[in-house]
Order: sequence, then C-alpha cells, then structure tokens
Amino acid sequence: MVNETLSHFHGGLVLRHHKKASCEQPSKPAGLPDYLVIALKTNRGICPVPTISVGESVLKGQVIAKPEHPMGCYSHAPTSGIVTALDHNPTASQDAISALCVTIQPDGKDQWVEPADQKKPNTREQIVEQIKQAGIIGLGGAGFPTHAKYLQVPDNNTALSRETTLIINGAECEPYISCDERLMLDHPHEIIKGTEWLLKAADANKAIIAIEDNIGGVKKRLSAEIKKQKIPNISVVKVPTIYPTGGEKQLIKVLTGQEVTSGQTPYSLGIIMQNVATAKAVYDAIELQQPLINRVVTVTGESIAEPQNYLALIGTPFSHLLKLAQCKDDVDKLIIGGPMMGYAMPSADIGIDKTTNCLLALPEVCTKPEIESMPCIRCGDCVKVCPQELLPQQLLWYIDGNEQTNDLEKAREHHVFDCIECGACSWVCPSHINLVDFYRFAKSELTYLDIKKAKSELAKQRHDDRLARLDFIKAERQAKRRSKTSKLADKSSAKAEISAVLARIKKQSEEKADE
Amino acid sequence: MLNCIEQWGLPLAGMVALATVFGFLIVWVSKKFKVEGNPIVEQVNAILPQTQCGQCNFPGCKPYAEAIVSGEAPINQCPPGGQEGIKKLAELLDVEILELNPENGVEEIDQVVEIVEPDCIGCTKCIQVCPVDAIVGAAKQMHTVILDECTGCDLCIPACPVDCIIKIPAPIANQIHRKQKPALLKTIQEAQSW
Repeated sequence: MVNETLSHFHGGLVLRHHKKASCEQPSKPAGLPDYLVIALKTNRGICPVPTISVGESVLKGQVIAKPEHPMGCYSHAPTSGIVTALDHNPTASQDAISALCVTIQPDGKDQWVEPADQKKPNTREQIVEQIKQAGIIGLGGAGFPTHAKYLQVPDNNTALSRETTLIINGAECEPYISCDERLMLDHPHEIIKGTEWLLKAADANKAIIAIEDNIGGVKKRLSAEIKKQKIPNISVVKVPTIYPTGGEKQLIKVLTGQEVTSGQTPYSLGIIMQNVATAKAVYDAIELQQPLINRVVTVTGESIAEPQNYLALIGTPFSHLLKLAQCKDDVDKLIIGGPMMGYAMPSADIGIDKTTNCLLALPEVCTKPEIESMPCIRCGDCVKVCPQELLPQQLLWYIDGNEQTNDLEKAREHHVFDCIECGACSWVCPSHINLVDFYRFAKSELTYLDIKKAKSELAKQRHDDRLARLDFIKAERQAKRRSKTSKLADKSSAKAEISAVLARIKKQSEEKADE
Repeated sequence: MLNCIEQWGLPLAGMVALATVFGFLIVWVSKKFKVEGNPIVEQVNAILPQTQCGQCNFPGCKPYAEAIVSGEAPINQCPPGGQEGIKKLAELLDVEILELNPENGVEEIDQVVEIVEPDCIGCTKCIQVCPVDAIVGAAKQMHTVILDECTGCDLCIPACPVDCIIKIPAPIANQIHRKQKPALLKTIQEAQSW
C-alpha cells in the first residue's frame, strides 16, 4: 500500500519551526492546580451525561460522565477531590464556547479509585471497548472518539474485510507545538506497545509511524524500541516538513499517493490514522488500566520565559501552566493550538481539554498585523498553497463578494466543508485577508441553515398530518350525522325509530313506578 | 382534380394519421405525468419557514403561498422568514425585494415556548391550537412542549387561560454556534488609516 518513494500533496508552506526551545527538556509533570475545570463535551463529540453531583467527593480515575450517544466519550476525574460546580463555562475550543463543565477541588491526596481489575483484552471488540471505557479521543486536535474509528472495521473473514494499514501520526507540522515530538522521545516504549494494541483493534497488517524529517533522534529511538520488542510490521517513516503535512488527508497523500475523496473517511482507502499521543493513551488504558486523565501540553511563545512541555491533568487551568513556565506580563494573545490553526482565548481561567496540545502566549509585537485586511485582488496565491486543492479566492467571492455574488450555497458547491482551516491561504494573502475566518463563518451559517431547513420540513410534515387528521375527524362526524338524517328521511324507518324510543321511555317509567 | 387527389392523397392521409397519433400521445402524456397542485405554490411554500404562525394574516404557510402566487398578498408579510426569505421569494418570482412589513411583526431570533409546568391546569386549549402537534398532555393532566418540534409560532400563548406558557431560546443554539461574518475593508484608504 505504501509507496517506497514518498508522494507530496498540493501546495503547503515551509514555515519556521520555533520548536527547539520547548523541546530541549523532557516533559515535566505540571502538578496539582488549585482547581480543575473539565469540559465534558470535546470538539466534535456529543456531550456525555454527568454521573456525579455537586458536593460529591470523587477519586482519581472515577467516571464523572457517561456517554449516551455512540459518538460520545467517557470522562474521568483527573485527581481525587470534591466536585464544587457542574455548570456552563467557557471551554478550550473555538471561540471559547460555553459548555457543561465539572469543577473539581483537589484534596491533594491524589487517591486512585479501586481498579476494575480488567483482564487484558483478547478480541478486537474487547480492545475497542476498553478504549471507549478509558475515554480516549483523538489527541491530535480533532478529538474524534477513538473507539468510533474501529467500529467501521468489519469482522474477520467477512466479504468486507480488507487489508488495513494503521498510520500513527507523529508529524506535528504546526510551528511551536512540540508535544508529540517530546512524547516520542520520552515514551517510545509506550507508543510502540500502544501501536501494537491498535494494530490488533484495527485488524491491520502493518503500522507506519510518520515523523517529520526535521526532528532529530526520534527515528533512532523508535526504531531501537521496535527492534527490542521484535515487532516486524511497524515501520518509522520520515516525511518532509511542509505545513500541513500532519493533516490526515495530507499525510495519507504523502505516504500512499492516494487521496481521500470528499465526504469519505480514510477507511475508504483501508487506512486508519491515529495520533502518537492516542497510541500512548491506549497503552495507559490497556497495560496500566488508567483512563485518559492527562496529556502533554507545550507551553511556549515569545512571552514565555521557559518554554517547556508539561504533563498536565485534563482540566488544569491555563493560568497554572503559564505560571509554571514563567509567563511574562506582556501577553497580548493567549492561543490554544499553534499560530496557524489555534484559537485565541479570552481568559486564562479555562481548563485544558483532551485535545489541547499547545498553549501559545504571544506579546503584541508578534500578534499585531502590519496592515489591516484589504479587498481581494484575485491574484490566486491562495489557490497555489491550498493543500485541499480548493479555490479560496472563489469561496471568498461567494461568501463576501457583493450583493449579486454572495451565495453560501455556491460556496458549499465549491466544497467549503472540505476546508481543513489550516490557514495557508491567509498566510500568503497579499491583501492580508483572514480567509479562514470567512470559511468558518460560512460553515457555521450553512450548518445552521441546514438544521433550520430540516426543522421546517419536519414542521410542514406535522402540520400536513394534523390537517389531514382534522379533515378525517370532520368527515367521520359528517358521515355519522348523514347516516342518521338519511334514516329519518325514510318515513317508515323514522316511525319505527320513534316508536322504539317511545317504548323505551315507557318501559323506563313503568320500572320507576314499580319501584 | 382526380390527379390532384392521387398526387396528394397519400401524404395528406399520412399527415392526418400522424396528427391523430400525436394528439392521442399528448393527451396520454398529460394524464400520465399530471402535476398535482400548482408547482409554483409548492416552490413558494418551500421557501416559507413553516412555522404556521399566521402572522402573515393567512391561516398557515401554504395559504399564504397560494395568496402570493395568485397575487393577493405581497411577499413581505412573513416575519419568521425575515429579510432573507423575502430575498429568496423575490428571486423566485422575479419581483422587487421589499422591506418586511412591520404590521406583520418583526424578525426575531430563534425562540420556542415552554410550559411552566407547576402552573398548568390541564385545559388542553394549547394542544388544540398548536399547528404542529408539538404539545402533549391530556385533560386535567399537566401538558408539556416537545421542544424539538416547536416552531415558535406563539399561537398557544394567547390560548392559555393561566398564562403559563413562556418563550425561551430555541435548542438550535446548543447545536450550532453561529459566527459573525468577518468584516473586510472596502478601500485602500481605510486600510492605510489603520
């Protein structure tokens, strides 16, 4: 499946890495913060239902929310303590959307819950179930529930079963972010072991760990570990560092030369992709029986005195991590994620979630644009760099052209939903237009209109049904009345009816008299 | 004369035969593929928001659609459809875009209704007026609104004798976070003054 020679995707950018500073030291534990704010809904998942109430004390690793929807995921208490709040708070997601959060006050004991004493899984289903129970979601950034990826794999020996390749994505292409690189340097054993479990879960015959060619020492460590564990079907491949090579579709194109078609999942090509941190989380879940309660977060940026990777509990507030990394006072923008795709956060009190890979604190010098955005001159530079081979300038034309051209449906036809929001078009735009903002707007508006449309169709259906029902009842009543009047129209039957009624009345009055 | 018939008779008969065949064919096709209802009314109805609220002074979206098509009503009487709906109607019917008629109401953000359950007396009046059967309950039992099916038409509010029906934001707000359209400067002067 994988070509000997690597392919390359359309467009992309070569960016400065800014990774070295944060990646020099092994990641440090971030310790216990004063409080933890755990967002229950993560990115694309469906919000699970909390199983705890305010005032309850929880133990480390205890389930605090259970999913009802197959796309939901479990949430666990990252440490022991008391639940102090269960309410809506801003979360570490796009626009810091307010969502249901559990606030936990740690008691400092960090006491584990009694382990459920699970056996090592034997079958595919058991592995997937343990992954689900551990609350693991894709840790690369999109946060797709991991177990859901394996539900599409058909059972063994059926006509549908196919050759599957597992790709472990270690190519974090965005500048500044180094958590995956540091994880591969610190925990090669865990990653390889986790990959082995994922191989079994996917029923795949080989795994490729893709890393970037600019990071030193990682391939050596991983290869040594693979050799030590004698797993022949895992290989490590270096891919050229071109942004956004770490994107799912881009990495598949680089490794296999194949493209995932619009609206399809990589499994349509027999590929399942997982982040390295997810592989580590799978190791923790199966070998150590620990749910996903912590992750490596890069804390970096020009405002950070000591850039560093931290192993932080889920829900650790940004402020705690910034303090550890000795953040200066000149922060203008606090960004979660990298400079290309990250989201600016309005406050440092928000807790990290399972997908938060980086905290980027930048002073005003770095964030202030040289010039405000100007009208599009249709130069087409954005088309050249778009890794999804879209037409960014044409999309802008339909979203923010003029009265005559604006038509979001046209933007949909031009595949605005295939935009991965990598920001390459905005980066090269000579008019400094934040193109991705327009696409995000178009996506949200189109989704909104779709929901409205579905709702109005449902309402129409229900209204029509109601009218039909009312008509039916009316017609039934009329038919009843008509049958009565038609009976009376016939003289003899009317007489018989009247005499029957009179006889009944007479009988009743006689009965009364007898009493 | 006879010569003429000999010369033209066959082609004429052929033409008549063909005309008859096609005539029957047309009649058959028009019966077989008959379009039920007025397709333009259906198209207009598809643009209307189907709240069935009656703010347009017609008893539902379809009657209003029929009135628009027959020319009895202008296109600017639907507040839930808003300016965007008027624009779509104008495009479909190739008429001028009008401003929403304030007499019919104002465009509101998505709202639905909720029954304050402790106050409900179980009179079933709201159930009877709900155009989409989104309220469930029985006589002298507490009623409740199925939020996902409520269109926010507010017809139940005046029907309630104890005023226990209130407006709340629609659940659609939890499903999708609507973003603001980013602004783009239109001239280089504006950009340079930054």
